[in-house]
Amino acid sequence: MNFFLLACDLQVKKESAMNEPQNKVDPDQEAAWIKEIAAGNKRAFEQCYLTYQTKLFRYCFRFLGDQGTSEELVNDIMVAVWKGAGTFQGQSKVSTWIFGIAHHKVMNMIRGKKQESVEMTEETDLPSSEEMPETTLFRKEQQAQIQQAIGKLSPIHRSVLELAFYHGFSCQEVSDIMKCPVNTVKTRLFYAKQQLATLLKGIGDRP
Amino acid sequence: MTHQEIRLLLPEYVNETLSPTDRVEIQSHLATCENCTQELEQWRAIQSSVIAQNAQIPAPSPSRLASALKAIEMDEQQNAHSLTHQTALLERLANWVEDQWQAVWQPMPTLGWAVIAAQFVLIVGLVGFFSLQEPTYSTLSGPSVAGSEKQVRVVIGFHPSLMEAEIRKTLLEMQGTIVGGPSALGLYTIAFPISPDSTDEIERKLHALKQRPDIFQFVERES
Repeated sequence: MNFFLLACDLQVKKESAMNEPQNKVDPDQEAAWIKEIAAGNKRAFEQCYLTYQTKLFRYCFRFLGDQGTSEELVNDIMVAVWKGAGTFQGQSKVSTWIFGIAHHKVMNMIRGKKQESVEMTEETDLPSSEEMPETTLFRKEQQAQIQQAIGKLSPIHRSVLELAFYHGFSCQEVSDIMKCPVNTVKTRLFYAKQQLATLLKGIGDRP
Repeated sequence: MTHQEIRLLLPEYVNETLSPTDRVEIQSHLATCENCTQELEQWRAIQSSVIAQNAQIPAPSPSRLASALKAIEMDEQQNAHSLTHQTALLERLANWVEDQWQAVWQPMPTLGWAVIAAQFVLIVGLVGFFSLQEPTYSTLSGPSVAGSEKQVRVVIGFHPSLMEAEIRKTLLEMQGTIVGGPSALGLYTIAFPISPDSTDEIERKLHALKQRPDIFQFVERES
């Protein structure tokens, strides 16, 4: 057990030092935490909490825009992890399982508050090779405009961009989190890019 | 991989979640495909923007862990209380059953077993008795018409003005039972408990029936 806790401490120190995207935790380490949490080990829960707190907080904040509400939601998610640890089957990675809980709760909260519409036109087709937006719209100098445009996307499309490009999940993992087929994730990514191009064009055309 | 397949993998090439084999294949495609190179830059611009947006988000409060632990503690207490409550209920039920056992059965175990044995024998006996009975079929209006009983059947036409109550009363008086009908002509088959060999008795019965034309319009022994 001492070795386990020492390993946990080291992992948390490493995680807290990192404030960058795509900070991955060893899947075996995470699986060990969940096993310990299921057995009622609060120390393991603390390690897991500290590892995921910032990631989950940022994910929630991007949709809710409020520090207090986002922090409370992170606690809700982590309490759900504590309660559900015994039911975790290990069929997916711990990170996708936790983010699956987070995604579900965030989308529910948005629906509940009716601040934004989670509904969207479901795209069913993957993009054809002719559908590529102009490259000039996505220049790095236009980052502020791109950020502004991302803010105007539907929550589902913002979510897919966040999960893929900030949290570094593969399309398969995003599909596990969103509980949808992998092709739907890819379609959403390309649709989001298409929407961004349209929005950027609008921003660029403004006098 | 085709150009289109590679294009669909570009987001995962950017976020570095592809296998090394796929990465190598994409890299060699990018060396020759201008469109994919441009699209790759678009995805990279989007990724940079998403990362930059996240960098602007404030850090969460470190004290929040304490409130999560508090919530867990409260949940545990609630569960423990609920479990205690359930256990207490089960214990009370078990105690009650035990009390009943001790109060009623334990002081007289011989009598208890005797009653159980008697009930068992009674149940087995009843089941055996009823299952060995020869099946009989009864009409709703009267005694059994099937089986070994000897009877004579008479075809009868009732007077159309008769009420059902009058028909029933007359049949009861004459010990007749409707066993068939009405036919298309409105005739009924009535069974009388007379041996087919008792010719005199049959004749008397037919005569008695024919004496009541106000009730029986048609009387004929079934052929």
